[in-house]
Amino acid sequence: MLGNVKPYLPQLSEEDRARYNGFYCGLCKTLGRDHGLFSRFMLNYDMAFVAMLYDELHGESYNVKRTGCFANPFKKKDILIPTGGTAFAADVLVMLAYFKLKDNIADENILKKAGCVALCPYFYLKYRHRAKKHPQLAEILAKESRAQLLAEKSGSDIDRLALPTANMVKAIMHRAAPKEKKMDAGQFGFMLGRVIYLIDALCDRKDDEKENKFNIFNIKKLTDEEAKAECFMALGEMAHWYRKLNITEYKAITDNIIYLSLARKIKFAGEETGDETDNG
Amino acid sequence: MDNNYRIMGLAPGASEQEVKEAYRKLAQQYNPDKFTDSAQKKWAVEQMNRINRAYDAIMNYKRAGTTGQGDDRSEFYVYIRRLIQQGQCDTAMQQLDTYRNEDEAEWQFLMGSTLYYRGYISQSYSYFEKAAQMEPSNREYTATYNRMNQNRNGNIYKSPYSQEQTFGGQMVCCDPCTVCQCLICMDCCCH
Repeated sequence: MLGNVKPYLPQLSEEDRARYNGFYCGLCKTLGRDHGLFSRFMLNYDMAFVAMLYDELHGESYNVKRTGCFANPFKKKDILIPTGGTAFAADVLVMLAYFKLKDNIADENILKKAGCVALCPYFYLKYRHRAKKHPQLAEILAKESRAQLLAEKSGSDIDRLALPTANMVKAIMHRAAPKEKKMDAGQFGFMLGRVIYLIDALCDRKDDEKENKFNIFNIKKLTDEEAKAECFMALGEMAHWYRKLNITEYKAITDNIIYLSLARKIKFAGEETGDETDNG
Repeated sequence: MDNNYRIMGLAPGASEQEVKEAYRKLAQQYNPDKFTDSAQKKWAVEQMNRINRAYDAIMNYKRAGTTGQGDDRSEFYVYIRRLIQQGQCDTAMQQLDTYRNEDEAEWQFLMGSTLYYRGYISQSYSYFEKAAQMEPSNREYTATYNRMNQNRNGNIYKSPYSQEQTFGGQMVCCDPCTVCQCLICMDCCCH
């Protein structure tokens, strides 16, 4: 699961593409530096986006270093020198990884379950360590993670089911923003969480049906058009709060992610000619 | 209105029963007959006047919620808007639910707003829709509804990209035979 919150590359300039890659690789480097090699496998696009917003909101500068990485040691790339944003995103990522593993243990087949059980103690220690640094955030993540499991057992209301993920990302963005922008960033995070939850459900609905897994759109028996309308409405509200953040430094990239990439992801979800191929 | 609740020693949005109980206690506490000293008596009378005014204001507006009359009703809506702004959406929801007036566009709009800020986006949409239908001349109602409706249709409001840039134009796929036929036809036309 690499996440859906990433740019649509064909409409991103070379310069912005390099900057985005710098962020993505910078987050990977920070994960390795702060949390060890295993944590780097949990890297995802969603948290690279959070790191970028953190740096934008705190006015952190973008400095790169030309270096290789463990995945491709012979090819040198311009990688972002760890910033406050990548350090924060890396902390959140390892905390979320622990909850994701716990979630998988409850959901997945026996083979995946065994893998998750094996990794769980490692990430539990990482989680406990980071929870000391961000106690309030850790508490909210734990509470909402439990709420998600309960909501899926009892509910069939889209709003209620999207609430735990939305509240998690709201807490993350609230923590990531400076004091004067916390309110708008929190609302933006709430909508981002809702979008992440609904797009995941939209993209997985056919597989979930085959594997008899929980999927809100299948439970509600919505048509593809109705499900997409729900996702588009969440995306539109996310864009509404995004505009209040007045992003400038990384605007070309964040505009692309919100108005192009996520909109395309919804529009073409479930179609044979997937959007993945033209996304580099 | 919040100040009136403060005078009564209550949190804004307290129930009618709580207001009555608080009034009874305060009336006993500041009863002027309890005081013998004239200065203290005068002070107690002033306190009782303040309490009476606050009690009347709260009860009037609470009754306005059920009768739906004039200025009291609009004061009720101002109070609900303030609650939403202060992030007290649970209290706003409780008040709107207690004093239901589904025939008023403002009630529908505020119900939608309360649901929206509590995170119930899908549910809020139908209330915004009703408010805009009931009072199409109100810009606030129609702007909110139009924004959400435009988004639902996949045309993200204020997107810097056109529909064509976002989703691409309609692709016309040509197989090699069609391409050859077209070229032959065009060649014939040229000669």
